[in-house]
Amino acid sequence: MNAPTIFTLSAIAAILGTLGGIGGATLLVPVLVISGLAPIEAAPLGLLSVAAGSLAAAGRQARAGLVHHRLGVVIEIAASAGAAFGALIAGALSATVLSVVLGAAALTAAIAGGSRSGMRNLPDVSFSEETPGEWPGTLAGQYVSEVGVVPYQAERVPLGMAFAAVAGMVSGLSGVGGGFIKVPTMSEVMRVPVKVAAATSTFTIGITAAVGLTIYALKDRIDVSQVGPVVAGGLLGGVIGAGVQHRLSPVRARRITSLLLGVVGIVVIMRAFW
Amino acid sequence: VNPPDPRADRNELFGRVLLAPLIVVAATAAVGTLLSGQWERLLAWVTVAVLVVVPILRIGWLISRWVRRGDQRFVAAGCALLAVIAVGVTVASR
Repeated sequence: MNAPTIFTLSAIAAILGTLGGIGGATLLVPVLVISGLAPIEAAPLGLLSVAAGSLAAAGRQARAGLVHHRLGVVIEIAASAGAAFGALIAGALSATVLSVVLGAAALTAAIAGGSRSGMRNLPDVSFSEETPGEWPGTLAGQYVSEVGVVPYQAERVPLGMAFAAVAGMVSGLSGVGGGFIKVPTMSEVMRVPVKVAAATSTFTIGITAAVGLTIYALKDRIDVSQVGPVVAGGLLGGVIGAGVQHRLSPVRARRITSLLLGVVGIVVIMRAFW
Repeated sequence: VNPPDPRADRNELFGRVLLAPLIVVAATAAVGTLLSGQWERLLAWVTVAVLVVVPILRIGWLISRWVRRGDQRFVAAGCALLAVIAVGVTVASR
């Protein structure tokens, strides 16, 4: 595949991935594989796209007070442990079984997010003077929506960590970032606003991608000729995606995430039987 | 007049610092795409190294910030995350 094509695919995947917080690899890896690249070559390119998109979005999302770093770190402990376990058992599961599980998880998350109407976390006028961000020592915080300052508190943390471990395991098994499980986990299970969930997921999938890239680099499985176009496309897409995400309403952000998850779920299941 | 919120600019510095590796990665990726041979290889590895190191440094920075604020629970969580990453990379790369 030539450099302009890889650049374009990477940029489009990063825009859509950052918009929904699911990371570009979930979209880029299936497209590269369908285009003829071997899965073992596509996985590190997907992680490069995720890492670039995460870095590009990081500054803007941090300044906007959308990233809950404490929640991200807590979630990522379970996800990283799951990723290491997934990498260990990768040879024991058939690709078809794994793809069906992945696709079913994405479709379930799409239906859960898409079927909910309205906003769960509502603005509170008593918080109008508060600075957006996280509250020290807690998994709570507030963010500025277009209708006011919205306070929130992460709930059902142990259950959320269990889902995050599954997301990590999926990441370790398949080479995608796992954001398509982390975002609905934070928004639907832990009841964090979807924009905070998407930004926090973008932070955590950067960590997951860094771990995966280190392993691929140590095993000399990164094609250096593809690094430039994939990363340049991922950076451009990440900047554009973060800018658009900042202006989206929570309901629209959730709908876009659900739509992306639905498409990913269908593509992954089709790949299993293709 | 309300006193200035000491936390008001807390994410500004974070955002500005994260701009530096973004510029480095953008430059190495763009120039690396145009070159070939040894320079392409060198720039590709610099790009990968920055993408790997920045998220880990970000966790370290968060830990140091939480240490200064006495947020012990999350200091422990950050250290646990770094330990899990180290063990995971060691085990998975064998």
